[in-house]
Parts: sequence; C-alpha cells; structure tokens
Amino acid sequence: MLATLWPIPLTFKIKAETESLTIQTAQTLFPLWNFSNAVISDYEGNEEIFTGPIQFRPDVEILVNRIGHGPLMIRARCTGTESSVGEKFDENSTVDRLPPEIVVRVDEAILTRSNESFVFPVVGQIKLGSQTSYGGSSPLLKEGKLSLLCPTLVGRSRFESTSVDLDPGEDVEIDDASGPSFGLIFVDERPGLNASYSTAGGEARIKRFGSQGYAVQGSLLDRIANDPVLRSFWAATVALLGWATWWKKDSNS
Amino acid sequence: MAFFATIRQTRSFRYPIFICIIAANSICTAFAEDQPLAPTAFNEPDSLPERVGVNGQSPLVGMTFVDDLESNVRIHELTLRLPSGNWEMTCVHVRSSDGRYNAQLEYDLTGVTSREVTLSFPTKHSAWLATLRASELALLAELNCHSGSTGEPSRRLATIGWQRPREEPKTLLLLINPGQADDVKVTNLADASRDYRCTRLQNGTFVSYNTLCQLPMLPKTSSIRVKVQPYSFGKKLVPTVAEVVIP
Repeated sequence: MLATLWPIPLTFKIKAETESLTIQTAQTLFPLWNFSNAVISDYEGNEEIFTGPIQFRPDVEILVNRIGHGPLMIRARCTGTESSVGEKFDENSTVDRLPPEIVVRVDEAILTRSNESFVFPVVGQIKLGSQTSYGGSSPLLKEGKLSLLCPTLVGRSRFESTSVDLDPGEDVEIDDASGPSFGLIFVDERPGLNASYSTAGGEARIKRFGSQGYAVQGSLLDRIANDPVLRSFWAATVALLGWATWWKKDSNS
Repeated sequence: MAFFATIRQTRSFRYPIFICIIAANSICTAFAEDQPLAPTAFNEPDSLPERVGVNGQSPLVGMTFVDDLESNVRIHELTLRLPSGNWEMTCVHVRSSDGRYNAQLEYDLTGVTSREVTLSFPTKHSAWLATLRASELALLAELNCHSGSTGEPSRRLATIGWQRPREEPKTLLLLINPGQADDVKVTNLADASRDYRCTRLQNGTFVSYNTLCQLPMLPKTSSIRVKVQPYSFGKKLVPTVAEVVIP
C-alpha cells in the first residue's frame, strides 16, 4: 500500500501539429540539422544559399515557424555570452562560424517536393505554440495531444496516466523538467510543422494568450486508476479482505 | 551662547524673530515638497473588465526605474524624476499587463523645482492593483503633454517609478508590446555602437505588453534618445524613438 504513495518519475509525451515552436538548446551536443537550398541571412540582410548541415551551440534560442504551406522560417539567436549560434558545414566539408543571430528560410517549393521531407532532431527545452499572438498572421498551435506516462509498479513498462487534448492557439511548456526534451520535427508536404517529443519530470503548463493557463501533473487517483499492476494489486487486496470478512462472519455463525 | 550674547547686546528681538521666520519658511517649504502632487485629471475605468480586447497600441508601453520588478507595487504614490527646466505638465499612463486596467493621469508641474516629485495616485482599484508585481503594471510619463494625450512615444518622456530609488538608477527598464515581432533590441542613440536585446516576461498574464528591455544609462547625460527596434525573422520593422529626460 505504501508503494502507491511512492514518488515515481513522470514523462510527458507530446505530439502536435503546430505552426510555431521554440527550442532553447541544452548544454548537451545538439544534433545536426540538414538543409537543402536554404537561404541563410543575418540581421544586416546579408544572404547566401546553403546546402548542408548546421549544428547549433548551447544557449541558443531557435524559433521555428511555418504557416500553412508557406516557407519554413528558422530564427536562431544567442541567449548567453556566446558570439555565434553555431557552425555550418558546406558540401566541401568547410566549417564556417555563424553570427550571433541568423535566419534560415526554406522555400515552399522545396518543402512540397513529393520525394523530400525535412526531419530535425531536437534536444533542449521546447515551447510549443506561438509567442507572438497579437493578431494578424500569427503562427499557432493547431492541435495535439499531451500524455503523461508513468512507470508501472512492477516491471519496466509505462502506462498512460492521463492525457490532454491541445486546442488551437494554446501554448505548451514544461516547467522544472529533470532534463532536456528529446524529439523530432517533421516538415513535409503537410501544412505547418509536426512535432513529437518527450520530457522527463516537471509539470506541463498549457496557456492560451492572455491567460495564466493550467498545469498538468500526475495525480494519485490517475495512478491508481490506470496502472495495471497497481490496479490488479488493489483488486486482489479488496477481494482478499472481502473474502476474509465473509469467512469470519461465516465461521462465527 | 554667542547668539544670546548678541541678543543681549543689541537688546532687540528682531534677529531671533527673523531666524524663526526663515526656519518656519524652510519647514513649510520642505513639508510642501513632501506633499504628493495631486492629479489635475484622472481617467480610470469604473470597473475592471473580465475580458479584454487587444488593440494596436504604441509599442512602448512603460518606462521605469524600478529596482525590483518582482516585488509588489506600492500603489498610492509615484516618484517622477525631472531635470531642471520649465515643465508645465506631465501625463502618466498606467497599464496592467493583462490589459484590464488602463488609466491616464495629468499633473500640473508649474513651479515644481524638486528633482524627485512625489505624485499621488488616488485610484479606486488599489486593492486589486496592490496585488500586482512591478513587471505587471507599466508606467509611462510624458512631459509637456496635451490633455487627453495618447502617449505617443515621439514626445519627451521622464523616468517614473512606484517608489523613490534607493540610489541613482543605472538602468532604464522599458516594457514593450512587440506586436508581430519575434525579437526586439533597444539602443541608446548616443552610444549606437551597442544594442541590447530584450527578453520575454514570464510568469504572468501578458496582453498589453510582454517584453522587457534593460538599457544602461550613460552617466552625466541630461537626456537620451532611445530607439526600440523590433525584428521579424531578421527583418527590421518600424522602430520607435523616444527622448528621455534624466535629472
């Protein structure tokens, strides 16, 4: 019975169709992002067409936007003391240091080619949804699902403790996570971006513009109701108690 | 002793009476300067709406010298810092970050000589406003404004705060509504070689504004020109320039 109250590590699993997400890179090595015919520019308006991988450094904020079937826009900027957002490796394996803020644009014609899709692996703190919701052509979270996974009492499998549907215009953020989020962003012929990632620990906060939002945490009731091992254990205990009570009454009579 | 000896020698009470008059005048003047200046006009909502609309207001919503943005505001008085000059009036705009409170106050500054002027803020919503942190209630003081001013930031602005600064403020805090911009930088045009990136405010409801810019003040300047430059994916949007007078 005490095992029911024992704190367990939680994992948030998020799958969403969105037009905007922000990644704050962690201190770990960030995976390479491969581009094809992308336009890289700085804030001064200098542009170049680039094919090859980019590796972002720690302490970089990466904003990824794509409205409908429009171009993929990525803005990366340093948030710490670094003077470069990362490195780019061109087709001749030449390494170039990038400036402290860059914009990468991939045009819709390249994205909607039927034989090509972009997959960006992500490690870092992820905020799902738009940060600029002052009307007009604002990118938004379209739809999604947030599931809370808990480990079963016995064994190494996990069960879905609770889940929340994400509605259009909501922002999702995980506070106090025990580590970075890991996941993927898919960009292809479908509109917007498709993101799938998971985060260990913390508390999910779901906000809509102008509100303080609400938190999603694992509750004891969800755990008792949904952990198959714990449920079987409690069912067996109740049955055993019932049988013992009946047996005691029967023997007394 | 020498004072009483002088009185005895002159056998006159004219000198102590003169001293008393001067002392009384000084006390009255000091008392008058400590009295908060009452607003000549105060336009605030009667009730706080539960739902608010978002409109395209000026990007520069607040400019203050608050030491601690996380502490609750001290709601009854404001401190306006002024350089010497002939200031006629100031319009103070007070906006809550969630968009529910939006008030304009006007104060007559004729004859004010103090560098730090205490302004009274006789709001009827003090109980609710006192629960807000300094980052959730923006102040903007416009100098020599016209009655009914909308606070367009092209005019001259003065620094204002919820309490007297403990020491000479070294940083100017600007509260910005970035609109469609995904990045905002501020520059002191006297030192245009360096710009300062703004950050998003967290932990609250931000509708009127959601961005904080911190601009170090150059020493020994009487006024600075501040440029707020919003960006959308690296492209410069329309900037806002304001002149800020500093005592």
